[in-house]
Amino acid sequence: MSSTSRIWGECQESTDFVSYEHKNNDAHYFIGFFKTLVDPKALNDHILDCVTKNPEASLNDLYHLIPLAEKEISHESNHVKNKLLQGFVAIQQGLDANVCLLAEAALFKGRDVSTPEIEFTVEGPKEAFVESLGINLYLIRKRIPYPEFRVKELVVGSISKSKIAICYIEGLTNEEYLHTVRQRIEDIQFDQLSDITLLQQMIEDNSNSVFPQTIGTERPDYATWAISSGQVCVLLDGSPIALFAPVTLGSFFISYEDYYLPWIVGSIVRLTRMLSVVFSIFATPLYVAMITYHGHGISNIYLPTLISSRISVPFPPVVEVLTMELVIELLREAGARLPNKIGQTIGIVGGIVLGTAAVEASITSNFLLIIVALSALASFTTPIYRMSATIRILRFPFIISAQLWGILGIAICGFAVITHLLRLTSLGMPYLVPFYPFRPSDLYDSVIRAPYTNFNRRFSFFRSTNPIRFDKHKKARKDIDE
Amino acid sequence: MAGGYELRSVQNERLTVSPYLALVLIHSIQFGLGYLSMSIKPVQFAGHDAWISVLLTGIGFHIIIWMIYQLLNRNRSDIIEIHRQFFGKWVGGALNFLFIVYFLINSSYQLRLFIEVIQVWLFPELETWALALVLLLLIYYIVSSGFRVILGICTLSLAQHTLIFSMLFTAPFFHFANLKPVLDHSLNDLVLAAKEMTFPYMGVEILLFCYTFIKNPEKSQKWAQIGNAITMFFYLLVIFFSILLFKYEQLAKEIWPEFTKYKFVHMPFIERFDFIGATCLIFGLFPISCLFLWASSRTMKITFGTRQLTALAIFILLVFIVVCCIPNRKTIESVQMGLSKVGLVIVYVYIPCMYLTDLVRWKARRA
Repeated sequence: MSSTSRIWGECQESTDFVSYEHKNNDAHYFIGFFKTLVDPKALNDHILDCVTKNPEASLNDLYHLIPLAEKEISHESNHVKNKLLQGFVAIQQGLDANVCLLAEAALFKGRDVSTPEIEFTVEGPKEAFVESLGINLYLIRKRIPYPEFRVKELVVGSISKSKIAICYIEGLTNEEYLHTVRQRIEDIQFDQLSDITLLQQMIEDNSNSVFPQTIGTERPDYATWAISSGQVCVLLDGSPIALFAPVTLGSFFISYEDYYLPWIVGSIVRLTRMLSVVFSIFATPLYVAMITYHGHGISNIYLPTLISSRISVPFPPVVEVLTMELVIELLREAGARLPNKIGQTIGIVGGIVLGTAAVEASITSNFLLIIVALSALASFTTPIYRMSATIRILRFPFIISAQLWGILGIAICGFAVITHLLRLTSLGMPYLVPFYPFRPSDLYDSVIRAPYTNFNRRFSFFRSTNPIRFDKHKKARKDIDE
Repeated sequence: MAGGYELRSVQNERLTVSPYLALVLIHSIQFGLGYLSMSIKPVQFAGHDAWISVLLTGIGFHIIIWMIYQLLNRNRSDIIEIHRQFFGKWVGGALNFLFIVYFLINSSYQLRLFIEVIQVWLFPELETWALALVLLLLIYYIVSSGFRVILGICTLSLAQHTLIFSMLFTAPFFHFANLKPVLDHSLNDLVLAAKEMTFPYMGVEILLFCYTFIKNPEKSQKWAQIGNAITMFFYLLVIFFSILLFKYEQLAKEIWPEFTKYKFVHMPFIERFDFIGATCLIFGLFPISCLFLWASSRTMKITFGTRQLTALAIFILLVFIVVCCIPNRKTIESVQMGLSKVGLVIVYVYIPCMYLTDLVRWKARRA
């Protein structure tokens, strides 16, 4: 009976809860809300205005009179409490009444839509997701004005009560993937879900892997592309990143700009990016292996250059390499933790001054300095930040195994990594498709990006219920002068 | 074999692989480390006509693969089941056990051979047990991931064929006169050489064990045959290169002529190529030892009801002990001789016998 009045008492423990009695002739209402959560304009102009102007109205009348779209009458005390915490205003007749009118007057304050910073592209739209779920959904929905586009909301987190939106297209996204995502989100046991990156780690197939199995993007154009390809997209209120799954290893090396460039240019850029990943992982381990064990394999033409650059370095190659790699990691970390302008300065000071000094002090050979700097640079070309972190980490086991058994060690380590990749799945889909299992028909958007006429079928591994993107018309073959 | 039959031991669809992977399966299990020393013995018998015996054995293996498919397609099951069905629980179980032993010895041999190559060409001071331990741990990781992952590793192992381009560097040293005159050895010599060629082609018996892991296995026969043909093609190349580069008196003195060939390779920035060639043998090693260990642990599981992971761990330990117990070249050679004889029995006696038994049973049931 006095359950609602207990809520009022409970809420009044917080100083930002406002409640007062609104006396008007016979009727006197109790009005309560969190002033920090409520938009004063909506409160004054719509709710209070309406209550003052209709002194005779009952709670039911008020329900119809208040000029707001989101309102309800509730009996449940818990529900009332939750709604109060979401910026609703509660109105009830008498303190002991157990019926309560809830009207939404939530205050919205947040960042405006701005340009993408992590996945910046020269071409293409310059909008990025922000921290508000509403705006993010707007950014997606305005790009998919399609009636079958669905948004399902879930609430996760015992304290944060985070709103999660699962977006997909009905009749296109495979139900199995959708169920898996939904099931995994529902199974999450956690209190404070502050960002979608936490969610990513919780719903991935193998959370002990260094390889990410979902992609988080801040670009609405990329997210909508994923949705219309048959992937499931998940948004979290308060996070400027949308994640989508299932994904393959190859898709981590795709920048969305590849799609905006002409296909030959885009393909070459993508190929460069993939080669740079290989270089970034194998350059320093190969240096260690060659210098330590396989010196006889280096051609006589190059040997003098190598020897002269290393002749005064007192350390074995592996110490030299590990030191330099750690210095680079240090520079990167320092640059990332500092404000933008100081970060740049640190980068320049560290890069030029430290590098030159290290060579002059014979701590490292300048040959290695070039390799380390290049491979660090190469690792930053990966557009997805989590993957580029993985690639930087991945180098270290290779360096150590190169020190142990030279090129054989690298081969063994490579087999271990590839076995791990073969085992990995993303929502149950193999991680290495379309290369293994080999799907030749899906190669049109993997290492190269084929012209859009070849995009007529969706990737078979997404098992879309509607695999045909558009009908491909066969062009009549042209002859000279026709 | 269309009809309403279900596979007797059906695998979960999630575990099966596409039929075309039969190509990878057959080719990668045949093309292991055996090709290193393959060209020595046939050349001793058949001289420069050894390539004919490579063809003969290849064709023989096409027939063997056909027999295996006939046998399996009729029974719609793998050999582990067929053994029990034909010979009862005890004799069938014993046959399965023999295969387990054969597989284990074979993978130990491959592993030991690889370690020997590494010891000779890369790290002379390397302890056998150290490398064996690391490799076997990795093999455990691969095999415990299941059949699909093993075939992924097999697919990756196809990358080793890029090495064949290094043979272009040897082209200026070819002596085409070595090939002439064609066919001046007797049929007897050719057959003897073909017998020596059998061991490098071995491995097709794995089909008997992973038949049920192939989606629509009847359709995979075409791919398996192509896989064998590809092996034949590469063996022909190896033999041709050997005949073109060496006189056979020279060849008789070599242990691994393949590595001697790498001495001809000079690239602008790589002075020596043999250490790359030796490392690339790892591509040939993993498919064979992984598939054999997978097959033996699976046979153990079905025949004796142990958990496959437990069986695998025990077998890995056994292989480790055996590998450490093979001390030198001489023992490795004698193991190879033994395996080669067992291989001959399996291919030319056991499989035809099983095929005929099955044919008779089938006819009898029809009548």
